Amino acid sequence: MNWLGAAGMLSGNAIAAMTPLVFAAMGGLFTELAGMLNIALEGLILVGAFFAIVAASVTHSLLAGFIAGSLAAMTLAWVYGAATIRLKANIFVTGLAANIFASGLTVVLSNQWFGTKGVIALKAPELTRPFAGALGGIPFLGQVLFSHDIIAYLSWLCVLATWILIHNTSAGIRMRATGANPEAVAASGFKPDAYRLLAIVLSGLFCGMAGASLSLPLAAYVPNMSAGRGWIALVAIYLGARKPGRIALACFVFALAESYSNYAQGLLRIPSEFMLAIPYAATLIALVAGSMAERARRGNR
Amino acid sequence: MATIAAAVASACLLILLFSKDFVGSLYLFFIAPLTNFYYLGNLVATMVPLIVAGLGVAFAFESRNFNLGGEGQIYAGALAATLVALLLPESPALGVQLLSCAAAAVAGGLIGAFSGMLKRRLGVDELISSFLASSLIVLFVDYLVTGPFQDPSSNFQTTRAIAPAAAFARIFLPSSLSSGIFVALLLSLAGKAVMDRTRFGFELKLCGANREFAQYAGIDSGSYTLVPMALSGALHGLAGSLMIFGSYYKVMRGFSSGIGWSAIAVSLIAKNNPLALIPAAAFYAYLDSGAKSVMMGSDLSSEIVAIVQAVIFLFITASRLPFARVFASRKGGSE
Amino acid sequence: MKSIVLKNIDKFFPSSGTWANRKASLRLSAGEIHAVVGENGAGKTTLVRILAGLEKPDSGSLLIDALPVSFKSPAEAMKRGIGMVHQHFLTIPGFSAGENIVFGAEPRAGGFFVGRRGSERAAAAAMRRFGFSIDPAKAAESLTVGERQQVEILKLLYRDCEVLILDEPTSVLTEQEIQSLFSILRRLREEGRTIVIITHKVKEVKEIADVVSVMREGATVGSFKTSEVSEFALSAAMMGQTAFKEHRPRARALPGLEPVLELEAVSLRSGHRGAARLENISLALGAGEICGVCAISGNGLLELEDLLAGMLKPSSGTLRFLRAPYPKLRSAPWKSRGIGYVPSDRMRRGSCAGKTVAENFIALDRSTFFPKGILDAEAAKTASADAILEFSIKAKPWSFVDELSGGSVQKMILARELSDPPPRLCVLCEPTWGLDAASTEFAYDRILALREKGSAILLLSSDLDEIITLAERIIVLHGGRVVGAMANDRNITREGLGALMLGLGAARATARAIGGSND
Repeated sequence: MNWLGAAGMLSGNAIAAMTPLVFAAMGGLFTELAGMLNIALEGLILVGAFFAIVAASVTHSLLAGFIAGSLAAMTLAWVYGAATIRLKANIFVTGLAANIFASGLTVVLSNQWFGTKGVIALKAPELTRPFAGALGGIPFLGQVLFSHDIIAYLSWLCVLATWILIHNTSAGIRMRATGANPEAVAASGFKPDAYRLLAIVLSGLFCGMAGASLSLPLAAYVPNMSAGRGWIALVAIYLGARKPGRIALACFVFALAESYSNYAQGLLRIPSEFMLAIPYAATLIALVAGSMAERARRGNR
Repeated sequence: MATIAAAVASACLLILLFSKDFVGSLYLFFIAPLTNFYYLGNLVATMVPLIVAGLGVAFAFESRNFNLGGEGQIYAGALAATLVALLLPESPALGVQLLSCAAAAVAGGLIGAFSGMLKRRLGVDELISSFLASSLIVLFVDYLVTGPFQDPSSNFQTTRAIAPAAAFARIFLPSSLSSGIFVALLLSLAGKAVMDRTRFGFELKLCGANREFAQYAGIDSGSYTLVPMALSGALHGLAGSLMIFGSYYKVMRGFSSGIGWSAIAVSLIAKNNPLALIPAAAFYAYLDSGAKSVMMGSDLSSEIVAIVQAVIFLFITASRLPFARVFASRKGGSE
Repeated sequence: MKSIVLKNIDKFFPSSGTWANRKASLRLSAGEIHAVVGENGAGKTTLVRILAGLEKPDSGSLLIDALPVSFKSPAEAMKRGIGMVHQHFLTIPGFSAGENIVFGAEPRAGGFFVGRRGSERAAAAAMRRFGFSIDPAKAAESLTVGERQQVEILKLLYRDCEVLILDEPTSVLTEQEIQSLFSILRRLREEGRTIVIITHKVKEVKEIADVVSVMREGATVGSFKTSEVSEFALSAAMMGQTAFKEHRPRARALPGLEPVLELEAVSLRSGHRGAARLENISLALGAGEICGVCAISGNGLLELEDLLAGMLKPSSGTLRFLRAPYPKLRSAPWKSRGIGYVPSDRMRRGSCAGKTVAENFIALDRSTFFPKGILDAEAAKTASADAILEFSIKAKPWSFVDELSGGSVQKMILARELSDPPPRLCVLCEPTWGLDAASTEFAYDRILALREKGSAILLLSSDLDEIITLAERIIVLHGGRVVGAMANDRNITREGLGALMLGLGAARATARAIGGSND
């Protein structure tokens, strides 16, 4: 394989791999803009992945699976949001609850409905790749841009949709204002809590799509499929300075690193635990660096 | 308490939904754990780490430091204790036990102190840093257990076992209950004494209750960030070592998974009161036993206890309901 | 809208147990600038919040053009053209000035999509119309304070408000920005709008307002055309002219003793702009003396308190206690040489709500009550029971502090600081605020007794009765500076002190006080 081909393959893999990250990061962006720390992304992704497969296995339709996964995650998000906002619970603890609930529920239902706590594999039609036939042959660009499945392209649209939502709709504007100055929002006659709940529900919708984008292309559900992507999404949001375009770029970088490290892991025999540790380490480092920067900034004022 | 009611209700609902034999499963869940020594003994054995780690949670939370790193601290403590015991196979039992438990406490304490130090020096939220650090530690210990310290003679992912002579005495055979329960009960009493009767406990609670007043009284709130986190980590580590010496004797990969979260739930139910940890741990262990017995006797999976735990977590920090006060207005999704 | 009348407004706040408004009233006409003045706690903010729809009155009526109206929310008031600019500006960071102005009423273009540039264009149009000149694309965080206020005003104008309420608008502005603001307000008045300004700055009232209403203790005591009333008469109406209590301290200066407390040219600057919160304060206090420092809140009392609490260090100048550098709060020299400190914030700083009276009592002296680190429960109970008895506190040692009334909490705090052995220096901040008459008398007795035992007492208070009753010497602060220092003799009057606290100039005020006549 020549140099261009290798680069194309790597980049193409990365772009395919970044799809769930992009969905999840867009979802997490809403809650971040609304001023909340949302750690439930992991659990929401998992629920999305599971219920997508469940629906696909029942209806034999990938589309139904996609919708079901999104709705399921949205429902869990609504419960999580209601407890946090209506009952005024601690958002970290309720986020934890959502994650624990997701991992427990998926195992119980998996056992109940499929008779296994392990991998659920379906015989399902493969996802359409709309441009692959005609344009997939182009060297480099063909692999990078044109050989992906619909869901990947949907994720790109999602970035655009998110941008429009947060800048050009009154709901998006007020959501951002709620995160920046909830008192001002209340003084203007709106309810900050309503926008916070909306942000959480939207994060559920998008994370559901992220989960579906994990399991449907494989036509399989693997326990704990989310594998830290919720945390990577959070880091991507910080790295992307809360701007959808930059966040997508950060997701690409992470996906590139992941696909390269999969390659390297086989080669270098790095323990899988170190791979799994990267999301947490990255978030911790980002957190500490952020605090140090904050301290430095305050000191200079 | 509404949370307890919600937990019990959700357990019943889950059994109703997923079991083909509702009444039978109900019996297995609620009654069977109490019917013979084996089940009861196991129930009490489960209480041991819940009480000790719960005590760690209580000390941290009372000082307004939210240690969410229990999982990693327990696991690391267990490994540290096992490694020390493996290093001294011929020594007298009591010495091995003391040294190992001390090593476990140090391991957990260092992890806790790490988050405490980040909060004190850089203002990093200990809630998140302890959670992230713990996740990293769990992965690291997983690697150690299956890699360098893997028992070469075993097919399981586990370290070698400690010498049988070093283990705690068993009570209520054939259950897994050991004399570790007495350590746990003693610690609970000691914890109560320290919290309510010592200057350290008084100042710790004051820092947690009203920082400005504590400052007015001349208490250095910085040290009451670091010390409680370190103490909390140490107690979690100790809980891990008690599990090893009491029931497990070796570190199997993931053996302590979930105990850290359960300890938080227990302490929250007990409202951070060291003595109330005992009944709270009993209730929680009861639910856990029920889940295990249902799993063995019927078609339900034991993960339903995770769902019950999630229900507890969902409601226990709610401040709009009359019972919860601990986390009120700390950082929520509300103004 | 030609006229607005608020009549007989009552408003009670259960959380503080006070009547914020009692038969308060206000009469507004179109095309006027109307100032509402009064001391802190007089009820001005509550009254205008009722007008703006932020509070509902318990009784009384609001009439717009003689028709009764009631607002369920600020949005309803806004629909009727009444809007308020809050004291603490509600600018949204992360948005531009233009976006802030149109927030909540963003212009729409085809469906429900609004854009940043569209918002800024609309804001620019509004600014042209009303004669403002801020760059609508400027980020909210980089706006100056004056610009932020203009954004707040523009928010109201964008929604075509006819009545604009401003709460203490000049307290954060520089002199230039104030003049800028005044010219804007005059322009708006020419357009026929009504401006309501809450302030306690008497000079500004004379400068900008057409009409002034004076409030005191929740009620409106008078309404005047500003051209027909003098500054002094205004301040007299604001501060009241009550009779004195009977006891007057006999002037006692223990001769020849070294000063217990010395402040020399103490200044406190804060923030990156170096705004002076205290400027050039000097005083010396000897044993057995009571010196009262009075000021309206926001004029330096809190900063002085924090300095004397050992919590802050002065930016320049020196603080000395018994000729040595002032010790840090609760440090060894603090405790061994004896400083007592009763904070003005009794709920947050002075006590711990979730704990018992006994726990609060022993919290400051842990070395005594935790010998060898273990609690001496008996001693704790005895000491707190003794204090309860001595100060007649309506509580038991095991009662929780959040169950006590404010007065009882204050007594507990006083008991803690004023008990034997008497401290060499006692810093008392608003010691009888919120106490009933009997408890106040009791506190006065204890404070005077402390003086008999030789303590040097510095009394920081905004309560003139307290100052006049207890102090031998009085120092008045305004804007962080000393504007008056005098002995507490027969010549001292509330009006005189009040005028000084409002910054009306020492010489004139003293002359008026001695002359005893009003305009």
